[in-house]
Amino acid sequence: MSTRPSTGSTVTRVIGIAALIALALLLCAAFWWSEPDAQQGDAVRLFYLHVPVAILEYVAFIIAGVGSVMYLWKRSVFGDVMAHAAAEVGVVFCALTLITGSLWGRPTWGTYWDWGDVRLVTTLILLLLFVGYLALRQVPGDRHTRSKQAAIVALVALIDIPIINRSVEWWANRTLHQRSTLIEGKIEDINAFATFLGFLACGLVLSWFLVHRFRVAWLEREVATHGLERALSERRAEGAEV
Amino acid sequence: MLRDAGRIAAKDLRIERRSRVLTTQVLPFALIVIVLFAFALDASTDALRRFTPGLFWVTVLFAAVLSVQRIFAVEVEDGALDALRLSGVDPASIFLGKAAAIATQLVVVEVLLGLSVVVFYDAEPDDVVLAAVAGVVAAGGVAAAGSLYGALVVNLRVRDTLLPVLLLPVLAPVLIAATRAYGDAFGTSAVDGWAWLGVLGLFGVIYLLLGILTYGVLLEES
Amino acid sequence: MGYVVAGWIIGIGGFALYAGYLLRRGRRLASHVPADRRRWMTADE
Repeated sequence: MSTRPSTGSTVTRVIGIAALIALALLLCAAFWWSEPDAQQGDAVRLFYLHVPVAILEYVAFIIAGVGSVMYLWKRSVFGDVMAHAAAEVGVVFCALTLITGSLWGRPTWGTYWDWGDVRLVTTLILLLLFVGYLALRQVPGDRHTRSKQAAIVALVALIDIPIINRSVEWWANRTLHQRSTLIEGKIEDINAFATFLGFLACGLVLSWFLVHRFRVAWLEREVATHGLERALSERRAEGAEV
Repeated sequence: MLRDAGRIAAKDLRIERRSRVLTTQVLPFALIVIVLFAFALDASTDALRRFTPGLFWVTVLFAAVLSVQRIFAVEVEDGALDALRLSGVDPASIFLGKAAAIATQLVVVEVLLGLSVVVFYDAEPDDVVLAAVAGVVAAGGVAAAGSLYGALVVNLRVRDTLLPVLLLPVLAPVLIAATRAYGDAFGTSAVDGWAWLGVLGLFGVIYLLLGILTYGVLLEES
Repeated sequence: MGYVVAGWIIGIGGFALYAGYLLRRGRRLASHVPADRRRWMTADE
């Protein structure tokens, strides 16, 4: 194992390797082992990536919400760092959901985007809300104030989501998204296996991202807090050498 | 609490009347947007009439961003928000006062815009009562969210650019619901506008509660 | 099928880009922080 300082550890290396293996298996399952869908044809092969990413994106945002509550309630630094990490990873997953969804929609619905689709529009606004959250996080200043503001923004965004979802639904009053085929049990065995594999692979990727992003945020805090002290002591050491 | 809120709102509106930012900047801005939409939609009165509800509310939201910025900029200049907080006024009162001041300004903007769309877009409201009630309720919701986010960004140097990024996505349900309600009031879409009023009301109540609950945390000494 | 392949490439590519970005950021920051302040390092090094 390398001794270069990094955010890696034994645990993350295991998760990372498992994620790579699972993604490789998922690729095989999606493109070779599984059958084309009766209605969607080959487009269903993108589903094994799109659906897990879409669902896990909500998991990431819920983690961000939990972290925000922990911070507002108990002033938990852990919660604050966790919320920031989960929000950024959530934005990455959210963007990938929209891109893979559009690319799936083009051959299936004949259009990249449909304003009448509730989940599409809700996800886009969710992305915009958390892009704003990350923008706020970027602003330099007193750490406690910023964490407090960010926590409120995250919670307001999460409370806003059901209202947006409802209003878009009444507004558009139609949806292209199919009902979950998983629940109806119509999926063939191999396709169910591919779906499961998709959740496993993307879940591993998500946890790897979360752990690493958490550590990056932690290091940022350390540098911000101790960076000045260390710079000063280094300067003093330099002075002593001369 | 409500009396303090009333005083704060009255103070803000008094400052507004003296500085005339609303009449000399926000209202002309709203009018300019209305004119720009006409250019953008190719001078077609038909299209303008059909899209009047949406154009109206987009303009209101833009004007709301300016109004929120203005209402809070007044407080930053001489640390007045700190003074207000230290004077022992309940944070909830500050929130409600600011929201009331913003809502009042928005209603003024809406009245002017309403007259503008009647004149320029040839749009006649069938149901004036619905238009008036939805206008007031939506203004309240927008003002509540604006008062919350305005205080959140007030002490940041980047507040003018950050405010719309944070506030406008949150207001998406208001835009949808208010546009639908006006679609009914102006007879451009066959929906039940009064039902959409419920969405507007729900949004307003949720943001009023959120503001009352979080303002203390937001304004407290860090 | 082209759309499906493009979706996969963007999806996996997005993962890879973000992972690389995180690792680079982590390496740079970690070199500024002494090992005893990086708690997870004590486990394996």
